[in-house]
Amino acid sequence: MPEATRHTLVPWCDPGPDEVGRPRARGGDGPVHELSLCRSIHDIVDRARDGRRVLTVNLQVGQLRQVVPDTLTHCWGLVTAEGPLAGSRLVVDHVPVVLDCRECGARTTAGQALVLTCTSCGSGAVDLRSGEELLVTSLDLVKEP
Amino acid sequence: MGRFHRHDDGTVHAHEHEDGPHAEHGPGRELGDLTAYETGTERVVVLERIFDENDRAAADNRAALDRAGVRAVNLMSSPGAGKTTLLVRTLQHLRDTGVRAGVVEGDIETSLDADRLAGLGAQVSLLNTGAGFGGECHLDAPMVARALTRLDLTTLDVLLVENVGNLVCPAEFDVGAHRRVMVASITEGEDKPLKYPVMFRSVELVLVNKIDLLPHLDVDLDLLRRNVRQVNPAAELLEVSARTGEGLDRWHDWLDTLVTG
Repeated sequence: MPEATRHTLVPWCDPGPDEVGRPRARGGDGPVHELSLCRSIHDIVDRARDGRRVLTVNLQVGQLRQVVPDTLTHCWGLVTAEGPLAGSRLVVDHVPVVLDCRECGARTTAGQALVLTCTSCGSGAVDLRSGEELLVTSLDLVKEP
Repeated sequence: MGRFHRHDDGTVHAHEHEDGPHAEHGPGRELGDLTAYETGTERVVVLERIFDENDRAAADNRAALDRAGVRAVNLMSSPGAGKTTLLVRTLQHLRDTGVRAGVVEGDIETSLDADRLAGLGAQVSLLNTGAGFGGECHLDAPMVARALTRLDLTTLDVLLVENVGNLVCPAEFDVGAHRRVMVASITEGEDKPLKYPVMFRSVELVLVNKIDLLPHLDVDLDLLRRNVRQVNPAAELLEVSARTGEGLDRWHDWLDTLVTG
């Protein structure tokens, strides 16, 4: 896309500077999607909290969702900055990709490379047991008197 | 989920003595962290999938398309893979064969893509995802719902949704189309299916584009095919050149079958 077009994406899709102020590298070829995820999470949490104050939002995120944890946390800060969820914290339960092999029967866990083959026999005939999760599991709230 | 219990009012609570760390997941989590159970806090179980709301809107879109007898295709790719060139060719084919086509065009900030589609006989609904939608990097179902209101569905046979060029986000958002298709150009490298398995797993058809450039590249087409099969054994693969038209007859056949079937 043209440079001028790309610029307009920055406020929404830039993961923000790193600890020493350098622009953080984008993973892959496109803008990150953690921000739109955070907006969806925000809406779910805001409904579920029913007016109560939220301390922690607990998520399950499968490895296949390609979510960068630091970026998600950064975006959560942006999305909640001015609203009733300001100061709340995301806690991510990372769920690895677990594969059941239809050839050799082994249950294996995919590595960082995310190659969806049996690490025991190399077969691509695998069933995905976990790794596609993306849900708000629970909220920790300030208890009402 | 045995550690949760549900009250009559529908609230579900998890209790401290029942909520140990998940044994089957790896380290690095804080779900076993018991600080939430100090006096003054309570845990409320939500268990809501983050895409549920989008998926409901997508189902509504699909129902609206079904009522009007329109078949819809969500067309995805990285930027520059050739979606718009393919779309121009496709609209020419549809016009020539009397199929009434509509296009939802997801362009980030411009009408450049929509301009290229003008005069091809299709109804085009442009979604500038940069303005008003907060700079989205994908189309979601509520956006497409708005785009549909600007089309006369009753006069269409097929709807092509040109998603925003991106190999991550569009894969996750069902927009309500009946089929998902991606354009993967051979200039992107053979490893893309392995690097973006979510996208490659989400589609029924992969159009391997720019094969007219094969003589000029070191690309190993067979490796690309194997990598696609590895992440998505069920996907159909068609090798095409949207620029020269090579191989497009099979894509047109695929589309014609979708529309008439």
